[in-house]
Amino acid sequence: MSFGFLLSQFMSGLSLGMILLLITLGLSLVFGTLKIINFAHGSLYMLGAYVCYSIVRAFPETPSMFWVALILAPVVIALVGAAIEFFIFRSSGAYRLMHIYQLLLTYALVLMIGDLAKMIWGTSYNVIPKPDILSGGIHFLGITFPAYNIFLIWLTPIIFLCLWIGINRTRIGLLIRAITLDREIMEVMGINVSHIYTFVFIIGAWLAGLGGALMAPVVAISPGMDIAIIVECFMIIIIGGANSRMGTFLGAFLFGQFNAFGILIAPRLAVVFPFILMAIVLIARPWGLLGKPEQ
Amino acid sequence: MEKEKFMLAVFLSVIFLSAIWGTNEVMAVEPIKIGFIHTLSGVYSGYGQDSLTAAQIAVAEINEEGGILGRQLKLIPRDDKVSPVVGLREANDLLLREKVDFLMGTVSSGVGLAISDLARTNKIIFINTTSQASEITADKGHRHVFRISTNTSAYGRSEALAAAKLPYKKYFSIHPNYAYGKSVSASFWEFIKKNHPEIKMVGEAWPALGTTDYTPFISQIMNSGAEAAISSLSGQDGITFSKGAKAFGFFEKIFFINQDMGALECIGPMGKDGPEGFIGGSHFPFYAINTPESKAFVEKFRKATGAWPGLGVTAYVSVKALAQAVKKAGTVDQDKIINILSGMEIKNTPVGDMIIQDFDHQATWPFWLGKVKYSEKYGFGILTNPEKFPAEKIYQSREEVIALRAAASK
Repeated sequence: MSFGFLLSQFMSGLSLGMILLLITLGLSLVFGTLKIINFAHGSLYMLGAYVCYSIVRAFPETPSMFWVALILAPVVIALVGAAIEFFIFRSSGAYRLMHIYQLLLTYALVLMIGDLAKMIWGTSYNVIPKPDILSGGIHFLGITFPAYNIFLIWLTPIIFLCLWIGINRTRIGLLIRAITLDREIMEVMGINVSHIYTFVFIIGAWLAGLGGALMAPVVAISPGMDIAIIVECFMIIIIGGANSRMGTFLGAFLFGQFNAFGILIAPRLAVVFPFILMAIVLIARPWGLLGKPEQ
Repeated sequence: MEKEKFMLAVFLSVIFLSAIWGTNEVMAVEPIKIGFIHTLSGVYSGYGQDSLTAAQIAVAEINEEGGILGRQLKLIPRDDKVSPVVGLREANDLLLREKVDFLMGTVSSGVGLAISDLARTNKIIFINTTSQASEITADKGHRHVFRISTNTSAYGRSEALAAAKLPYKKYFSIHPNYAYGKSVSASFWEFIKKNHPEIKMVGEAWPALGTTDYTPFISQIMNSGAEAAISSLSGQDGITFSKGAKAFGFFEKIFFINQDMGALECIGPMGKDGPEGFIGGSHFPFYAINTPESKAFVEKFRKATGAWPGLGVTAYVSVKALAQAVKKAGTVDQDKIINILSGMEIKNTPVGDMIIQDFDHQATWPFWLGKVKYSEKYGFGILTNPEKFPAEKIYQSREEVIALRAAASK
């Protein structure tokens, strides 16, 4: 087991973790502030991938269209998110419902968006290539690692940092944190909580759409990717802790590494590794590694 | 009160009469129904969709010629979503509510095994068009299940025969962790151990079906010291794996054998960016089969979809074969049809003639392997100089199947 091998596996785990972190961040943000368990987050991710695909395929002669799609697709999904928040969540009073009803509502959204995607894009696999500058491998420290994965490993912490700065160093971030702690008092103080809720959901949707667009060149885009990803996102939130962004980071990182090294030790257990990790956390620290025990 | 009761009586009578009227209409031309359970969404949707299209072409052809026994043929498709639970639910609905006469379908071997078991207990014919696990017709085979396609024995053994001719001795084995992947792997390695023990497994991986990122596995393979790799990652998994592996320069360093990645549903969507230089397989390399039947089917499929046909051809042949048997039986009686299907010769299919073996109801569908190269003409990778493997070299023999069934029933 050479250094190159270990480094390679570590980088694989890191890239897996960072990809999942990017997608899960939006879910974590929405759950932390809006206190709503948004199953449809995976659907928004899938829509992001599909929209990115459509934009790229609409201009087959322009290879750099991917970068344009990367900017446009999340915006489209953010708008979809805004529509969902305004017309569905707000008007149905979803925020005052019990969690179980929220789950049913968002699950209904999953089914609707899933079928809508099938109607628009069909059920076969849709594929777009990676952008040319990122399609090869980068050689460093004796190993070759795909350039696109390294791009994602760099991009995700940058986005995470921007999000952190936004939440902790801006006025709107202050409002978001305050609303997360106590919605009622903020309403009493005259802050328009509904607008902030919409804003947070839009950010969450934007992140989901960005995750989808970034993953579009990596996977085969098809129906079912919404369900596949949402399960992993929830596992990461459970592992890291539901109310902590750093927890999500840690959860995603551990998830990636556990998978990357677990397959070397016990290849036949690859399917269950995420569940084993989740089980360990739930037994030892049920509120997640960086979560706080609730009342 | 009297007036209301009278109106209600009239109202109910009208409904009752129209119901009978409607039923009479239906009774007269009751179609023969095939419950078609396939994967129309998710990891293997490409195969399901192609199979459905091909089956619909066959049904249309048969109905144009007047149907079977004076009745029209009707296909009732359902989506099993790659889940045995969903598949069983749909199958039960098809049996109890729609009252289908036959069951056809499945892509995932997990679902195939489940539906096969249901067919056995309900004593209804189930024709498997796409699930490949040899267990479905061998170890767990029974009177009511048929397969008109290849199976994992054909995959594993043809690949083992191909591997034996190559100079590589160290293989990494990577398969999806469920019935199908396990079956291909077992078929390959059993044959290798018996006939070519100089070929060794240097490592194995069992990723979950639908894995989003294969990077840790690809990295593991490239660091394992393997010269070649054997795999059955198919459909969406095959695509995701290839995309990830290309950036590692995988296909230049590791000689890859994966029969599924020659299938159109997998290599097609990747187009120009698909991998090359690996050994892929196909049930129907139409570009290399010059018979009139093959050309006719390709044309029909292209006219219907604008695309080239892939694995779906097995569904086309299955529907036609079933129709042939029902016509010969002169009835929709399950037992009579089974007796005809068993040992029946199916002639002039797009892949040639074949027989449905009487001891396991597996059709002698041939299989092709070849090195994959991108074709400008078609816009996707095709098998170059595909080698055709005849049934007797790749399928389990009568003795083997009898032994497997005896072992399974212990």
